Amino acid sequence: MTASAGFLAFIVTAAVAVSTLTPLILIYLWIRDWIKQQLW
Amino acid sequence: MNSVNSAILDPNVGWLILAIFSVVWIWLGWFWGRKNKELDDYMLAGRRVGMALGTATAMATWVTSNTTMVAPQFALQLGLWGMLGYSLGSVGLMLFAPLARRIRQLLPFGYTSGDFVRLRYGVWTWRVFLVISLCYAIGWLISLGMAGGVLIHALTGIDYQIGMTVILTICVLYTLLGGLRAVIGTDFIQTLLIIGGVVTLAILTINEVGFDQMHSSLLKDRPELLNLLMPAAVMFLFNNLLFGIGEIFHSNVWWSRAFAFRKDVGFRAYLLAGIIWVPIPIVAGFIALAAPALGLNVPAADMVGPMVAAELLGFGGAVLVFIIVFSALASSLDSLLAATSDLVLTDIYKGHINPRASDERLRVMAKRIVVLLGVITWLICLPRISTLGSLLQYLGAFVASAIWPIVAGLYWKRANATGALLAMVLGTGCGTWAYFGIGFYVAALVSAAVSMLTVFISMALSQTEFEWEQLKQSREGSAT
Repeated sequence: MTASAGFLAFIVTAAVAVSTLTPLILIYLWIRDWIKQQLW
Repeated sequence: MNSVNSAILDPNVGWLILAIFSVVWIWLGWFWGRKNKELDDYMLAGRRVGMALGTATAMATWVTSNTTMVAPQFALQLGLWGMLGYSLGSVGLMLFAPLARRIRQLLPFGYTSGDFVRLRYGVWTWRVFLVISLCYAIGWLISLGMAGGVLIHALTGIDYQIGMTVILTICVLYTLLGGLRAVIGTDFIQTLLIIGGVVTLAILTINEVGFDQMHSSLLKDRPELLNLLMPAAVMFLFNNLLFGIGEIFHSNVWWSRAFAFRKDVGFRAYLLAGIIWVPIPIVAGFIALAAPALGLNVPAADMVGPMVAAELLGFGGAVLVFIIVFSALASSLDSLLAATSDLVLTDIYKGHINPRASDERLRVMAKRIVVLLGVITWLICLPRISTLGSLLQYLGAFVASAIWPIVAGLYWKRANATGALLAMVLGTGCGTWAYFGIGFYVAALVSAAVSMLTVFISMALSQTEFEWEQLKQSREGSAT
């Protein structure tokens, strides 16, 4: 069973999209912890 | 590959980047290290790490140079399932989330994974566990050190030995100065650099090559890479899943973080880190599938990632790749140095050599052990022993044998010392046999299966039940 170009594009595009959000999530958490004085 | 001739960065530029990042990481190590007053501050960052830093450190530590180099290698060797299989490494992080909460509950004053095994299973099982754990830690350190030398050489032409020496020295220095606090703090910055870099690289690859061209070149030159039923790749998928779980469940890198995070943070931080780790090997690995479309001749599979990046990105991109790789290497090397130092300090030095050592003495020894580990790793890394992938996969036989003794020990009262010891010995033995007799892609599978059977049989035969209260003595204790 051979993967189609569409399948390859879907997998990679989804992965890139999620990875793009990750730095934003981490920065949001950092600001939240910093405000609550719970960074460490 | 003659990396000196094909290096995409001038060695002087490489040295400049290395110098800038060395100064920044070492200064941050010193800066955060100033707050370390007690042994707990140095070893466990005061046990009050919050959600942001907790998530980032779990994520960054698991995104290693192996992820950025070996994920493309597996994509080139095993196709789509190679990179998807690597993604399953994230399951280990997610499954460790409930364990992290349980560990913090059962051992409120614990320091290492060895503490748990000693109190739960006794001295001999603890010693077998330490052998496995230290073999794995040294193996991982070696693979990271080698990756550092290889990548710096490939990207800049700087000699392998010199590049490897520089990256190891930098990590030893800032870990030495700041302990776990420096490791976790720098991990946050390194996470942002790594993810920003791999996403940029992936987007540029999509723009330059495109999925249609990539797919048609693969169909023409390497159709097996698009085969969704490639048997070795499917076996690799499950093998990598178990390997990842084994690595995380037993290794003190992850246990020390479970002890270091705030009480309510461990579960959420590991779960989120696992979720956001899933796409990273796909993003980093798929660029290898562009190699046929670019007409690249790849002489060594573990070099495919940097080669594609070099072909596509030119000078600015090459600087970016260098920073990603440097950050990925540092974020894992520092964690491993700190956690292995804790294990050697607590379980070897205090547990076997000097049980009455004061906290002050332990702090001095912790720093000496970080230096010693750095020197040992450097000596073993000097010759380039094998490809990074095979070295990493060989350790799967060791670590997968520890999955069931750890899980059973944390949750089931009838788990016992004999069963745990036999599970680790038989699992490692059979996994090693499978590695050499069948292939690297089944070592962890066989090891975990044998270990599971042994633990379950021993629990069925056992009449004794463990008292969880015994684990609360984790602060003191030794083999004697």
